[in-house]
Amino acid sequence: MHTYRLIFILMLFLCGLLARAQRVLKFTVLEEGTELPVISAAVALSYTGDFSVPDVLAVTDADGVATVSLGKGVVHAHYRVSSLGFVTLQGDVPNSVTDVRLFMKEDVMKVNEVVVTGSRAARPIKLSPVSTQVIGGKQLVEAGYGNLQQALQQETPGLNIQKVGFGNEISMQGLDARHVLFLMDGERMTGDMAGNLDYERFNLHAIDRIEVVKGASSTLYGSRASGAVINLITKKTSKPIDIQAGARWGQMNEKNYKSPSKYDFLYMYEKNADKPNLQGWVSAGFKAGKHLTSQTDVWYSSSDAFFMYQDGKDRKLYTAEANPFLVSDTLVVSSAERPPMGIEGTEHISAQQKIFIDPCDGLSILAYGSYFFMNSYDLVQDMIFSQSEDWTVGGKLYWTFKDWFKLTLSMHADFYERFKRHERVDRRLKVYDSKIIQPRLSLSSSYFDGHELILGVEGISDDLVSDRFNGDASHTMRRRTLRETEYFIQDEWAISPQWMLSAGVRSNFSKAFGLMAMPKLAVKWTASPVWAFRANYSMGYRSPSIKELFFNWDHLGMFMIKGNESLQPEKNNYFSLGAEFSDDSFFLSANAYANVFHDKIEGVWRVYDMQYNFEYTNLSSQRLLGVEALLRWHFLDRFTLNGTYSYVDVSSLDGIRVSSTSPHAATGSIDYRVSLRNYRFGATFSASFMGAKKFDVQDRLTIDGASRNAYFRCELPAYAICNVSVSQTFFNKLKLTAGVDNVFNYVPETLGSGVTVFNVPASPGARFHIQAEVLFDEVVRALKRKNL
Amino acid sequence: MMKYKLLAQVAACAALLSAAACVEYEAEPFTGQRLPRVTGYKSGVSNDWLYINLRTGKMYNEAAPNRDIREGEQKTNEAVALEWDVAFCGYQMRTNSGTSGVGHGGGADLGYGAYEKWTSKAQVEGVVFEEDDSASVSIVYSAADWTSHLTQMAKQGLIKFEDFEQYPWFDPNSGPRTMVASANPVLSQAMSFSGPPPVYTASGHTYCVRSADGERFYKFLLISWYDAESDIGDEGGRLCFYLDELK
Repeated sequence: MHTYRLIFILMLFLCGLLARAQRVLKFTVLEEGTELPVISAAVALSYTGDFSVPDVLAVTDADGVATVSLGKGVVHAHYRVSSLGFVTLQGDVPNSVTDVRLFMKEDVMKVNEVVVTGSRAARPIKLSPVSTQVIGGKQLVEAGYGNLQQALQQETPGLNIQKVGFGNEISMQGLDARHVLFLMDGERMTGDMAGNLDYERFNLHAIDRIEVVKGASSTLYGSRASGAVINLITKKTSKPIDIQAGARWGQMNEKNYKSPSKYDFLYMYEKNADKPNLQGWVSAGFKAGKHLTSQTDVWYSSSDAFFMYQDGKDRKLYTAEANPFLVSDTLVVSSAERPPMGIEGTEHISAQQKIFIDPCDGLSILAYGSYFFMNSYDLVQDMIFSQSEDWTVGGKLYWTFKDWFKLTLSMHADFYERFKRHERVDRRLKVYDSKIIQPRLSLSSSYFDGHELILGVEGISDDLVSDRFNGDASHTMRRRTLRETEYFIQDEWAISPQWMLSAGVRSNFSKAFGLMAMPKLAVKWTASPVWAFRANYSMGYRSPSIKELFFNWDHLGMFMIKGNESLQPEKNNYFSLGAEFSDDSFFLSANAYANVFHDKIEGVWRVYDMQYNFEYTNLSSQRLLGVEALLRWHFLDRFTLNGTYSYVDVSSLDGIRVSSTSPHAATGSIDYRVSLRNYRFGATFSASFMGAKKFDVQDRLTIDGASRNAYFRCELPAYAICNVSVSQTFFNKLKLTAGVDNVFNYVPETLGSGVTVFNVPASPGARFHIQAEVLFDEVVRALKRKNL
Repeated sequence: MMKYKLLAQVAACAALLSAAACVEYEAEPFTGQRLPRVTGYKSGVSNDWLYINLRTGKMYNEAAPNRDIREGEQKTNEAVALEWDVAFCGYQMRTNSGTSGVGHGGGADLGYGAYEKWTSKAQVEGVVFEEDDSASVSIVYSAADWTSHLTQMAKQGLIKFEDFEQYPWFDPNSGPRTMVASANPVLSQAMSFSGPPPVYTASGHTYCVRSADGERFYKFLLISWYDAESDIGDEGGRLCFYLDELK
């Protein structure tokens, strides 16, 4: 009996030893509140507490489970669980536990987000030497925004996307669209008008996050990145299946026609003037094993055209300051009432497909394509409306070798066409055909300790076929082309845990402009775990666009728009100093900057041959001084306060203020979020403030019968647009959102004349919307559980 | 399974795309009238009036400006002075009355829409008709006429030849130069212009035109600056309208 007892005790002891030698841990990672599994969370174990090289690494599955084995003889271990969009968890593995159940909190502070735009290398925002603002796609949808333009305007300090009679006009801290580079997953887009893209191309529901880098980033992104880069990073699912579909209905902006009849001469125009404010979208992704991931996003949207009105006549004030020939300020009141300004409606669809293939370790391939189609319905009774069509296609190859070398090879092409379409005859005419092709190769290496070296070469071919190169009003389509080759090198050097240095240079070569070199230098000093300081110098440039170089267009026999083939690229020097405080619940960042432009390209009116000519020229220098601040405060566990402020001072020229930028701009929002097991509630109140504006507009003034160059002063009042949105999610399957845009019903009273109309907010007033979204992945999961 | 997932995604895209890409041409054919040519400053002549006899349908200056009736002759040339009822220059109109003609023409505004409502002469009895004047309506100078005008001014010593550049034909804020013309102030409200970019908007009002003999009445609804089947890119000017006699 003793023998059996001894054997039994020995076996128990042996089992214990074995178990201790190969201790298996099951981590279950769930979202706090909803208790939904966090899929693809990285679970790292370290025996020493140093996670730079973890001892064990695993990824959670569809149930949020990751199973890991501790090494033989290991008694103590530390874990770290991280997942995009959540606050990283870290702790000790309890000695006697094999099931570890963890709850992750949403990262409302966004300081752990990985960003790529500022340095072209994936790096947590907190560690990036270049200050980057990150706006989460999910956050934008939850705030109830209907499109990207509205979202960016409400979230980015100093950014203004103005819907004008025909299309959009963007401005940002004293710079126009020509200085703000929009990228989709790091790739350029074509089809712009004066730098403005069809921003409707960006599907808000396909966006994972938006990275905004202010200041010149030409070293990494070349021409046009002289003011800012806005990089829209699209979603890539990490779930086995992930489908969301939704619809949004909004109140009409303005009912222009009651029951149009087919007998009406303008029947199609009347119908199109009253499109519903309606959207529908599908976002579908799946991950098949380790090797294949697919992501499809489709978005349909239509919006209602409306008029904006001005009571009374235009009043133009010609100041003696801007017009030295005047003895005193002179007010001229127009003889006619200002007609209402039509804001076009649109109907568009965009579809994007991405396929990620990982055939073997170290090699990843991405193939993607997208399609966009839009009808733009202006409120001009001219028998035509506008159609745009765009295709993009491309591929990327990433090859990683031994953790210290990475090769990225990519080819991106974007084909954009614009048509005029007849409203009574089934006929359309192509008026604009643009394409860019951009091959790229970059090599990055972390071979040298603390260094992240990146070396790249890019080519860009930009083609534009248009009827506006003719010098007359004919519709002959002519082609103009620009080709450039660019090389860049950058090193990010982590000198110590406190100091980081980023230095780089880009050289650009084109037949037209020769060789240029643009350096940059950025330093980051992490003074403590919560304080960091950044300093940045960079040179930016912008090559003249094809339009600025070659346009030669007779505008209805009234005036000519003339390009200038002798234009030189404009250059700018950007300096900034910034400080940042961030802890678990509070983030404050402030940046002071100076941006000095030389040879800025502007269009000016000149009179010769008895005719007005709008000509492009390297006009002048311009200096922008500014401060901007970002604030985020998470308090009482459920509230998040976001605030941004931007101040900019734009230099005037001989007493003339040509910039229509307001010195003060701010945005703010307060979010309330609560998550329970089968119910989520969220409410957002957001406000976008634009300060008063005062600027001078080039004009003609007739004195004693003679017309002469003059400037009239536009003064526009400050305004704020506020939105409110409430969303509820039931059983993690159905999400209902309701909200009011422009809740205080701000409608501008003055449209003004000349370029003033580009500076008043195009809002129809307070409008209500509702939105429903079905989260099919949760439905599928629930069905699976039921079948089991 | 994977195939089905892919198929479902592609099908969803295709369905939405095809739904959005359709443009339906459902409007019924236009049954009104249109001007035979573009009139006004684009022809190179500021006072380029196309005269129409509504009683017979005969047109003057149909093929080119001033070919049949020169400016002024519409009133002074006895052979034609009572042979026209209405005239078009751009979107401005004349009736054979007042400063434009020696007849008993005139124009009246019958209010918004309701073109079909007006069917008989009796309905316009008591309606006040306005005659043409030479102070209320502006037409656009042709670029050539503007230069001639400047030359005249220079010859009179009002301006210097070397200062011509101070008086360009087109101004980016106020558009091309205009001059007052003899025309009907009521009918001139049938269409308005704003711009640049140029926007021509019909008022949607029904008007009544009285013939030169003062005996006949015609209801008139200006529809569009553009021809119903104009080519894309056409700058317009061949006005489309409904015009029917009230009997």
